[in-house]
Amino acid sequence: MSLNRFTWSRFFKMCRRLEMVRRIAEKEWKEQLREKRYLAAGILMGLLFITALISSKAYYENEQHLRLHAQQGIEENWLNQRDKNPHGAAHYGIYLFKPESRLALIDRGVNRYAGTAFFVEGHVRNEAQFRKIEDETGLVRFGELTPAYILITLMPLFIILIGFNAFTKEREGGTWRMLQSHNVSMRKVLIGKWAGVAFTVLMLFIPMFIVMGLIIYSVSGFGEFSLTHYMILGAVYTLYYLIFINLTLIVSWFSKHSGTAFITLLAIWITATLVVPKLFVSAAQYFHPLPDTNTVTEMYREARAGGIDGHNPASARELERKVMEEHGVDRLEDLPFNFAGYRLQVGEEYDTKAYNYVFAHIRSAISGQDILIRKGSVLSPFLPVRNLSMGLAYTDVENHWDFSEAVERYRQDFVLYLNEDLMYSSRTGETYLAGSDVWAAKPDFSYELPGMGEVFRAQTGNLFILIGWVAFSFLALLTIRPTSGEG
Amino acid sequence: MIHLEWRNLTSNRWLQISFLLLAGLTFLAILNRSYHLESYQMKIHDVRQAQSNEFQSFIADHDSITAGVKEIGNQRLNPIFPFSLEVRLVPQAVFEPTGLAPIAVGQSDIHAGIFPVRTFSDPVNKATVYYNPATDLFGSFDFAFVLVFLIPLLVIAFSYNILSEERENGTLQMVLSQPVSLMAFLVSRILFRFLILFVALLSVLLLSMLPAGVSISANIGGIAMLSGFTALYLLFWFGLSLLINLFGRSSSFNITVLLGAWVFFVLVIPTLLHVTVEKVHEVPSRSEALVEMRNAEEEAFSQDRDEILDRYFLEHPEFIEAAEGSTADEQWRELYEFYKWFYIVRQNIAEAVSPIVDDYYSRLAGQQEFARRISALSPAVILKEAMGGLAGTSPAHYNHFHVSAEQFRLEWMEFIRNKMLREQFVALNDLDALPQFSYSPENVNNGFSRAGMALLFHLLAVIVLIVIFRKKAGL
Repeated sequence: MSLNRFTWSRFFKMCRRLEMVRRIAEKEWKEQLREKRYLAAGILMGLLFITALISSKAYYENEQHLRLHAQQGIEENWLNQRDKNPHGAAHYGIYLFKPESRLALIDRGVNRYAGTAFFVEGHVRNEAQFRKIEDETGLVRFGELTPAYILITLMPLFIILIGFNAFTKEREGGTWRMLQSHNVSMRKVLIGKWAGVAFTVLMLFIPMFIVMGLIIYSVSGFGEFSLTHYMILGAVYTLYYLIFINLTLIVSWFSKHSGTAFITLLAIWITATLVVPKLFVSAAQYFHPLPDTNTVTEMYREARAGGIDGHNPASARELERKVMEEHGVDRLEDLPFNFAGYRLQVGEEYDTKAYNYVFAHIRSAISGQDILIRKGSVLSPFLPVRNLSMGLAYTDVENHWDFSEAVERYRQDFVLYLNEDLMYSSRTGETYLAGSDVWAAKPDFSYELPGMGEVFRAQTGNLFILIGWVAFSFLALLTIRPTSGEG
Repeated sequence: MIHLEWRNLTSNRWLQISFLLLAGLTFLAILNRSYHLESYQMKIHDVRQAQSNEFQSFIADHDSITAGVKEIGNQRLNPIFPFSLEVRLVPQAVFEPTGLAPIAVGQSDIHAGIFPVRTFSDPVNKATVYYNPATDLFGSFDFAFVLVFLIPLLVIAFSYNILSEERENGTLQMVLSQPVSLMAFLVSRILFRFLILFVALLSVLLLSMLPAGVSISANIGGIAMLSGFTALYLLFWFGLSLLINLFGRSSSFNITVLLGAWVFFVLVIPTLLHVTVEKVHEVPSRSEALVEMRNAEEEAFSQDRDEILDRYFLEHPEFIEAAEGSTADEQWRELYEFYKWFYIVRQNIAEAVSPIVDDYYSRLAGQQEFARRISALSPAVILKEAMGGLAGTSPAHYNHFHVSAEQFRLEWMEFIRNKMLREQFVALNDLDALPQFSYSPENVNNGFSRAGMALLFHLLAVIVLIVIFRKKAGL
């Protein structure tokens, strides 16, 4: 049949065919509206969503306020510190607080579980401290009320609720035979039911998504808010819903009773959203255990062994000789710079190298865990979506590490600046105290969120799995044999 | 009738499969957590070993130095000088869960259980721990999750149609023709199912504790309490199921309402409670405390040294007298003078920040108390909190642990400071008098009786509703 030849008769035929589907869809949708349980569930979802949005916004603004306030306090601490040896100031250090992207309003991701304060000091690379979760009651472990929680965890339940008896009710009500006797194609019934459920889901999702977009748009904050970015996030959620609509209809088709269909679907839902993630986390912790503090200290000690210790002149005799030889002097005091500062900087580089080694080890254990957890995506469509949602909101683990690396680069500049000040503002053996002008001229820290391209590159795996799930579920839905409907 | 029930249940293949699945998951959960507990206990063992080695080498050094057979280059680290204590005998704060730790992760995946206590530790910065935020976000798989989240679903699947099924199968008339009332029939049916599930669950739990190395006899009290909580929790869900059945609607209606209740109690209420706790009982930001502490530190160190010493000794003349009896020679004196100032400044800092620190910890405890109080709204939350309490891994336990560690830090600092201010040398018998860190999960108020009461209250509420609706349904 050639598709490019348009004839009116063919057009009307197609319209009639679609008309049937449309009617079934409409009937399905009207029935859903009439059912008070569904209406109540929809209203409850809406109310929860609004609560989540309001509390998320309040949380976000409060955190932002506290962060700015604390960062300002730290800045003042630093500027008002007493005159001291610049290296003393490197030990005093500063703190950098991680900003939240405004998209964190949708999905707070790991933010509550990752440290927010980075202590920037000489000699030591610190893991982020002040994890919000340390100050929490056990309640947050049940789930955090954020828009993402509603959209990713609860929305599938709503889909299940409105679709679980799409076919079983026909069977139980005896209308199944009637449909068959009227010679209605089962495929049309299927498509009609599908459209009916999808329409309801979108009617709930789209207003939510628009309101959320407006609120994020109105919030001033860190990070660009681009419409494309937001629309892609919306598309991810929609694809996720399609998977659950398909699964729901498949189960409803094959179940004899509505009750069985509902229990089966709920089992699928709880497996996908809670059981699989937890089981894979446990497996990850078993197969890739993270080193504890003592092991890390030991590793650091080993990596550091033999190098020059900035605080210990005895460890730098060789260096002293070499530097004096280079400058053609016999005494350190005759060098054009303060050797203590130079020694500290050389020592610092040894420290950095040792820390790079240690952190690479820790991070490789962590990425081993993450890779294993991601494998759970094959069993759970929830995982790729959760990861995509966090990734797109800049609240995933990758973003945390990205910031942490930026802080480490800054730490090296910061310490270098102070050591060089000691080196060039004084001579070996002199007592030198730096003052507020030195504190004021410290390097600035700035951090830019990665661009959209970079985020997508990092998320291709999750995107592929998600699309795989969509394709798989559609395939399964379409291979339902129309004649097997008798059940 | 019971015979019939039993046949009825054993012929339901879905129930069998789901029960076996849950039994397997319980087994896995207990084994998984006990594996973590074991490796944690190994770490404790290693740390204690290392501490005892440090102690031995300290004593050996002390012996050889006082006997004059050994010299030490850096006098500050000489074991007879008090400062060496804090460098060479670093105490460790060690958290110990109870013997039932494998039943619930609680907060043990968040906090460091072992950390060195240093006199200069930041009092609100809980120890460094290397973590993966992603694993903490999804949470580990434990028995508390199986019991609180999954078992109610099994209960519902087990009982949602106890009445509606009879009606839909047309067997209701048969039941009514029997000499027992319908209500008695339903109640005995529910209780029978409860008993089967409860006994099976308890057996699976006890059986999985054996290979996990959990001593049943040593934890018999905790296990009894856990069984009590579990029984109340299961009865609550069975009761709810009976109640919904009394409405006389279809099985499909029953199951949507029951699962709606599950979503409500297990997912919705806890998140709403969390938002409420955060709103009503906000914990002071530690970053604010940090700024205050840094200010106090700068201020304390920038004051004139002599002035600080003068002011301190005016208030504490006892130390001047004590120092007069010192046997330290001129060289030592100089070192003592510096460290006197050093420890006095430390004390001043500690005193300046203690209101902030106390406020932080007491408000944290207040938040936990408030959370526990409003948790009474959801049986799921009550049970999960109680299980954390039984496991010794609840937030209250960790709060108590951190407060103990902070108190110990102050004691430890005071011990060294007193020696320093009196210009005393460290004698071997001083080592017996060193402050010891102690933490015991028994000192934490778990609120078990309140949890039991709250669970009982939920159950009673359901029973009262059953009685009311029974009359309405005319049964």
